[in-house]
Amino acid sequence: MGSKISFFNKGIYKKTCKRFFPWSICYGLILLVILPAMSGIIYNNRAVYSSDGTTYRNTLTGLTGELVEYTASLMPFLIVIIAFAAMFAGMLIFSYLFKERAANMMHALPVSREALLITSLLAGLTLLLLPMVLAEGITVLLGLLFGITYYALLHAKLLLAFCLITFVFFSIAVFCAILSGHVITMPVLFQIVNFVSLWCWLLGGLMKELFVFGCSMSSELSTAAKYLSPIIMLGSEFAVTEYPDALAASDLYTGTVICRLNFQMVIIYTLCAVLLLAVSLLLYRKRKVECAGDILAFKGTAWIFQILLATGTGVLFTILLYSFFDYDIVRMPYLSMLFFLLGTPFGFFAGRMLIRKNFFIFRESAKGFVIFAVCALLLMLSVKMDLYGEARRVPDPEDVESVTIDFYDSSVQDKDAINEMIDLHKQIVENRAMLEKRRVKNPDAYEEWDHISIRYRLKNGGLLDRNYEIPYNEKELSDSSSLIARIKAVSSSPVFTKAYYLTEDFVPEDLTNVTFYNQSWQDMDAAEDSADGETSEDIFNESYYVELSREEEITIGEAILKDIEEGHLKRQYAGDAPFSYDQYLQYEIKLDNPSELYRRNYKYESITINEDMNYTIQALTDMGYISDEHPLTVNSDPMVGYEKDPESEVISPDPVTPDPQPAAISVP
Amino acid sequence: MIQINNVTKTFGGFKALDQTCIHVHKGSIYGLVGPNGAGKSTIIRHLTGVYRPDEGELLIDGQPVYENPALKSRIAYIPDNLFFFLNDNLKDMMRFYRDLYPRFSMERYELLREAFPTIDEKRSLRRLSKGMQKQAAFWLAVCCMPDVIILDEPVDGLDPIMRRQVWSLLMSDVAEHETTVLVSSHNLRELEDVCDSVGIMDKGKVVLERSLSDLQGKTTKLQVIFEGDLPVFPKELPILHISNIGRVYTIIVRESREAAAKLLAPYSPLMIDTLPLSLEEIFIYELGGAEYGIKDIIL
Repeated sequence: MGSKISFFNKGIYKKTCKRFFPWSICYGLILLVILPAMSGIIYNNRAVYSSDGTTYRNTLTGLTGELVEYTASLMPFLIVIIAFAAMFAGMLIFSYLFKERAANMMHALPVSREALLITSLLAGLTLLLLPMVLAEGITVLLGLLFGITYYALLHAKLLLAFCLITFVFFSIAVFCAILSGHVITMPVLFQIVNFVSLWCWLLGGLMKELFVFGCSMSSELSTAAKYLSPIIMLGSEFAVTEYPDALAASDLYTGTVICRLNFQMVIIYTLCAVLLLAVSLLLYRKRKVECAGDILAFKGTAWIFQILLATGTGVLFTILLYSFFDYDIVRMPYLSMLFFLLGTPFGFFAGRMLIRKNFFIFRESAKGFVIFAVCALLLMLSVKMDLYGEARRVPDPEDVESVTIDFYDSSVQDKDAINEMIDLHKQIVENRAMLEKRRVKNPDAYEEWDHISIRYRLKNGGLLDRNYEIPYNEKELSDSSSLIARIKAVSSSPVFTKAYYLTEDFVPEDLTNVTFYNQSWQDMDAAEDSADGETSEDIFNESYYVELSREEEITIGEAILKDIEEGHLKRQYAGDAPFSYDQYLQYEIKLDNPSELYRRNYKYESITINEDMNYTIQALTDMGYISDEHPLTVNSDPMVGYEKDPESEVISPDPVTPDPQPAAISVP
Repeated sequence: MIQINNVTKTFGGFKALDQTCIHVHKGSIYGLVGPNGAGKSTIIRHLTGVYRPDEGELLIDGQPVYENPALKSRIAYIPDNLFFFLNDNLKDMMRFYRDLYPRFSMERYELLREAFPTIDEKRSLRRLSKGMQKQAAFWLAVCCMPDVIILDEPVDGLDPIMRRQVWSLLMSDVAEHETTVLVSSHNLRELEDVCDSVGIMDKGKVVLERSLSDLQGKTTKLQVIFEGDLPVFPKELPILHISNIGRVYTIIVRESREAAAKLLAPYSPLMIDTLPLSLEEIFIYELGGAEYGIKDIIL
């Protein structure tokens, strides 16, 4: 009898496929409904809807747009479906690892572990990919049949991407199956692998927010955390993007490719999945069959499991207690530590109970818990006491590439401005004790508060974010040597004001799509009362705004620039009363590099006209948009003057108290 | 054919096998007996390549078993707890084994249909009775044409006729193909009929391993009547057990019949009778020495 090394076993492959094909059919049906069937419904609806004389080309363009839009909106959902399908496939196909009898039987067969794993992997992929190929194949055919070439091409590309994504998620499922000894643990591990980075990011962020002066949780998931969380990364980044522009620009009849699918990312994940499979294979060779039915297959992973559960219940307990007592969590770090420690035993001992399958584990795991609690406490205290110097950290000016205050689209590279900001930052850090002391007090009783957020982009590519709560009172505001006065002076300096409203290297030619808005609420109120049939909407459309010509745009750009340079236009900060004209400018500025925050290559901003903006008022007056007939009107809405979204205000106008001044006249 | 040398296996601090040694000759039937928890099933799982030993070696035909698919294709294994895939019938399982075992004989499968007339090949195996499942397992196992058959409680659940049928099949396989059989069972009466040699396990160790004839020839039951009370025997005497009913003493001696009679002759017994021992009695008396004796419990 020959003894040849084999990595595939036909018998097991056939048996696995045959056993689980009903599940595969269910998965296929789901995909068939959400891909080809829904596309067909959209097609039919569109055909009926557009039978009123619109041209075939327009119909097809609109239809393609709708179908692509449908696909785009479906992408995150599809990624989640693929991930969960892969998880279920893993649970089913590797179920033989989780039951003693099945594990004994399968491992007594004349098949090596390598062959068993690879054969199961291939069987799983077959069960997952066949429905996908079928559903996407029908979608492609549907597109071709209806002459929607672009749509067919898009789905042909998506099919390839989905196959790779399926491979990625199934590899994770295989890895989890090898690590777990119980069918219930496997999906839990799958979720942990997919979201553990998110959890660590949240925990780290919460810890920084609670214990590190000046640090706060970022509103955006870090890139590393995103990459380590495939469901989030693929669900959010692998998408059909910016199709409307491309649709408009492309000839749909020739099926020009317009979709932007992040294949590079999928390839990176695929390579990682191959590595993960190699690790799974190594682990499987080490795995003991007798662990079937245990929570975890490898004892060394038990403590990770317990610590994850313990920190989870600790955080949950802290948040629950604070929610219950309605306390501001950030202001009481030591109480947070206590609440956290009170919550950890639940997860720690529950984890141990699950691992041991026994309720009576307290005596044996008490020592472990004490060690964990002491370590956790020491870690929290060391962070709070700033043993790692994070709270004191102020970058060296030489290391800083740019600095931004409060808004990400307003970075400043000017050396002097950077030095000034670093000096200010140092002053804030030096005043830490005072700031923290006043922070713990009831902030609403005696003082006003404002925030300053500083973001340094370092030359090594890193970011350093700080966010400080600054208390102040009237006395401090009037004292030019006070911290609040210094912050106010720096943040409203021409350099930072220019970067905030425009860009640091702004030239008037950069200004585009400038619209002058004349938001007189009185017009709207008057319209409601008028008897000539005009609605507020009519008046709004006639009078609300005017788009500036290219020449006017450049002129207004120059005027704004002068106003900033001469200090007529400043950023508002603590104690500044909102200026309040009804009139404001809205504009876009082209950016050389895509915006960090919004990932677009233009900046969208608005300026409310104030009485000091001589140059801008003069320019608008010269253009005829401000005149005796169309005067500047003071708005009593305290919110006006900040960033405003004219559309939202139009849609739901919430008229403020009528101003005694006469109604503004429509701008021609 | 089968060599197990100093195999040790520990489960979470519990030593299930402790320097276990077993040797089985080719073409023989080896009976593995022992009390519950002695380690019989554990050693069998090692022999079938399911478990990896912590220490020691397990060889079949000179090759290690663990992760050796070529060797495992020559081994058929029937566990005490059978596993069949959900909804699979006998034909499905036959196809599965046919794909996995290169020597699987369809001819034999067809021939054996007569031997197992009660089994419905198209009925889900999980819906069959325990006994029928065992029959199906035998049917499939012998069709794999194995060189080694490993059985864990094989006839448990079979009716007397089917037990005889199964043993007959196994014995004919041993006779015709020199198949080596290792069987673990608590049914010592049956093992006595079929086994060539026996190993007695206790607490993870093989306490006794001999051919059955040797074992039975070397342990003797004596029924003796002494003139007075029971004499005090020196500790050197290989006496496994002494009990009495009135003046009649039953003494188990680890010696041949002749040697045992000679051993007691110096004590001038009034009457001495030598009787053969069954395997069950040997098992009980041997393990009695290992603190696993039958306790006289009065409720």
